[in-house]
Amino acid sequence: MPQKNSDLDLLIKMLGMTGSDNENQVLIAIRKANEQVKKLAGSWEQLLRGHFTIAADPFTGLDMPTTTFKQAPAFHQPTPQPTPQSRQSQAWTRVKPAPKPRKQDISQKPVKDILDSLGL
Amino acid sequence: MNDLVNLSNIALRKTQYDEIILDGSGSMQRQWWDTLKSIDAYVETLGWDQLDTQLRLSIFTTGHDNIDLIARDCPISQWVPLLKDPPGSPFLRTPLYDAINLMGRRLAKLDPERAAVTIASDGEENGSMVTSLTQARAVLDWCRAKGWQVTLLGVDFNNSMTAEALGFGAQSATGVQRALMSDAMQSIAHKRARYGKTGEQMHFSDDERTQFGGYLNAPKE
Repeated sequence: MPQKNSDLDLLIKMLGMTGSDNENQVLIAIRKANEQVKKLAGSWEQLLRGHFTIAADPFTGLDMPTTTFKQAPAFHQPTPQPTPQSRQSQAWTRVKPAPKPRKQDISQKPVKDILDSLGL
Repeated sequence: MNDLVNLSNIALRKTQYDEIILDGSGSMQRQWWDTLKSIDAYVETLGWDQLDTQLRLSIFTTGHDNIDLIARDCPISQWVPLLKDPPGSPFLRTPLYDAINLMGRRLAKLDPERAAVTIASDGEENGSMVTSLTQARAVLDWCRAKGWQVTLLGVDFNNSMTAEALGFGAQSATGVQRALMSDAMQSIAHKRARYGKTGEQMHFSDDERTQFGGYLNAPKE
């Protein structure tokens, strides 16, 4: 890895030298840069496509949301409270006790009904 | 870059930086404790893995000035567990794109060598004022191009549609069952530590997405 970084440093330096006013220096710098690229990645294409992604500045023309960097409030979990019942609602919800089942008095039933229920 | 990007606690050009963007919308109240617990688990795991990083926890929801509610912003060695001192939120809606916009600006200003951003939400975008889907995606694409790791977690929520729209690959987004949030965040922390030390990309495997997502469907590639 350190070797790679020094190769990259040299490549950057050579590319910087291509801006020189001296034509010979520019030519030498380009040749050296090509040597470095060969060492680093094999070719310019492999170097650029394999190691670099060019993304446009996403903030150009993008408004910034309004913020004042407040601290987050403390979290207070509400303690569950029993739901208060009014007198009226108690009255509404009161359940009337179910009447006790009364014994059937078969003596009151007509004889025909009794015979029908017995299937006779 | 606007000076309102608050970086007062952070030395510029940090080597390692973490940011957790937490949805503070109303529906998150149901899973708030599990989520806070899972973030504590993340920090604890980073400590075990001996990664020294600055961690900022930002909670976002709609309403005036609620887009960046700072819950923590400190080195992990100074982290106060969230369950000990729990941050809250006004619990309104989910302006996800605006939150991404601000996060990107902070990162641009800091320009850390390695950064990991985890976005945790239990719903889709709802309420951004200035940022569109395209703009939010552009910010995330730019972060990814910088080599920073961005992970999208659906808290008890299948986030595959949001993930796809925002350019997340299957390996960097998953829905996580509420009960498994801590396990998922521990797993992410291990990946984060490896990324911090070696540059290895933080990716979920198919098995992990199935494990953490369970009944939630992980996004498809």
